[in-house]
Amino acid sequence: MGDFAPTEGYAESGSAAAIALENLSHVYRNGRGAKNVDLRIGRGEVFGFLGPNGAGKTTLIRTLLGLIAPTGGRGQVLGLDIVGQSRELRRRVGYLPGEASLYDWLTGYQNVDFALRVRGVADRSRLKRLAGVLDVDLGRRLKTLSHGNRQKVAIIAALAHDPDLLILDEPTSGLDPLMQETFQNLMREENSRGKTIFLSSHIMGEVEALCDRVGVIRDGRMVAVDSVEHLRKQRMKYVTCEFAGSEPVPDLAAVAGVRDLQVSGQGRRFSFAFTGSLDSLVQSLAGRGLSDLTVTDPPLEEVFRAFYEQGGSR
Amino acid sequence: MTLLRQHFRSQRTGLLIWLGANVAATLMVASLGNSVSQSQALPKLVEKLPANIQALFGLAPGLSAVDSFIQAKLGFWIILAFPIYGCLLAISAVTREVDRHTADFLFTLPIDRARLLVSRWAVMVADIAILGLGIWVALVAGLKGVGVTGSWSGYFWMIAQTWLLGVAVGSLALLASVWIDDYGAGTKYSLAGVGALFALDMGFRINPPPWWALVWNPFAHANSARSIMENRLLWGDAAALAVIAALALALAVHFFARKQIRA
Repeated sequence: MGDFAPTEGYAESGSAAAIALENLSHVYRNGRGAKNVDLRIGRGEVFGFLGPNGAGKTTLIRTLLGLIAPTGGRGQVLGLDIVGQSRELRRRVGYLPGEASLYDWLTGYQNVDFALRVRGVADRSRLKRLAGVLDVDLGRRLKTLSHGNRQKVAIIAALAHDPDLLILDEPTSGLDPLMQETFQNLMREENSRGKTIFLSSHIMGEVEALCDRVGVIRDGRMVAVDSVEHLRKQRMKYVTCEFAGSEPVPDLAAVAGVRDLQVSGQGRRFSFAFTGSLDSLVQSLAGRGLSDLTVTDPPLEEVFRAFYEQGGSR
Repeated sequence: MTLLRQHFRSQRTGLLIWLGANVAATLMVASLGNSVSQSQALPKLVEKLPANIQALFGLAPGLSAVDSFIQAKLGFWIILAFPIYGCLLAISAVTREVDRHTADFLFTLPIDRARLLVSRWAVMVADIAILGLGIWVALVAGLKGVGVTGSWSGYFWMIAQTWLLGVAVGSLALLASVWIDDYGAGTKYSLAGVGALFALDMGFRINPPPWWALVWNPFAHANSARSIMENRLLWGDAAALAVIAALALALAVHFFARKQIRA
């Protein structure tokens, strides 16, 4: 992996970015994995990483962290090569795995203390502060803790060394709604201190609340990278329209891009999701006694669903 | 040092169990020392056995009654026990971490994989040594307790030679474990491997093959009767065991650096 001819500008942009991937792949023998991923995430950005189970999210994260080697392409994290400088990279990254498993025969404190010792961090004040914020007893052995409390210890282990980049895979799984809010506030605080956050999550509300941009991965390939707002605007609209008078209403089911069509009001009121050109939709509706038209952006969850049901493209 | 201490602590309960069971068994064997020393039946029996049967059980004519008894009971047992313990420790080093998913936590820390593996190998070496020392202390104390004088240094060298055997077999298991991610399967395979090598060595003791067919099997380099009789480390065999262990460790480090830690 170390003998690539450097692409012009790659090193410069890589060092300026928190994460810079160029054609990065890790493809398993069964053909699954992450394929030819190009991605730039700026320092101080909160990036949401979306995709269903098996889409390649965890594979990409594991490749970034040096747990598995790339089968193609290259990448830099915090300006460090993910293959050649993996150890230094891991010193500056905090990682929370999807299935966080710490040593259950140790207490929460001993687990985090071990990680800090390996990292050469002597100060334990941040550890104690995080335990207070997340309201967890670090003096108990992990095997005696609930799933939610184990998750809190894992979050502390990922944050305690004050990393420049946080890679979080389903961070709030097992946390109650109040603690999810506490976690989001903690992430905002970290971000305000200039930390970069790479957040993989299935909880769209969390992604919408925290992230500046999101990337959507499908079958191992990044199919969209955009701001949350732009993605919502671009990908799909929620449309409601009503027709007055006695003129025949248009056959909306036949209009390209219309889905989830619902009809009410004696067959003259329609609501549907729309993924086509608004210009052509308005032309289809015009001249039929249109009395009301509302177009709204859908929640991110719907955008995400559209990517997977209809097939999104960059 | 952090890695060494953390792994040693994780293996502490297992070490105490092995130590307790083996010290208890050794004290039981030693408690019979007085009866054995007053009877010359065992050395006479050994002398009457055909040479291939003596070889099969590692017996040697010329040992005192107590030494013959200790060698036959304890020497024979630790030749199996140390490699089994070494294998269990080796499988715990990496395979157990992957199996329990703690590998994700461990390997995303800024740890050098070579140092990690060597530290875990060092814990295995230390734990087998502590087990061996515990057995030796119990043996000496037990025999002294019943008023019997044995070949104290001979027993020490017997245990030292077998410690090297445990380290060599454990190192081979460590090498194999780099490709095994299932702890249950890893334990089964490594114990089956110990059994196969031991059985092969037993067969070779009855019908010795050419040296080149023997030399690669670690069990061929442990002979408790000879260690007691010659009252020293068997240097040639010790060197062979050290080479097997060093080679296996070096290969394990090499391949472990390239291991893919899958979810």
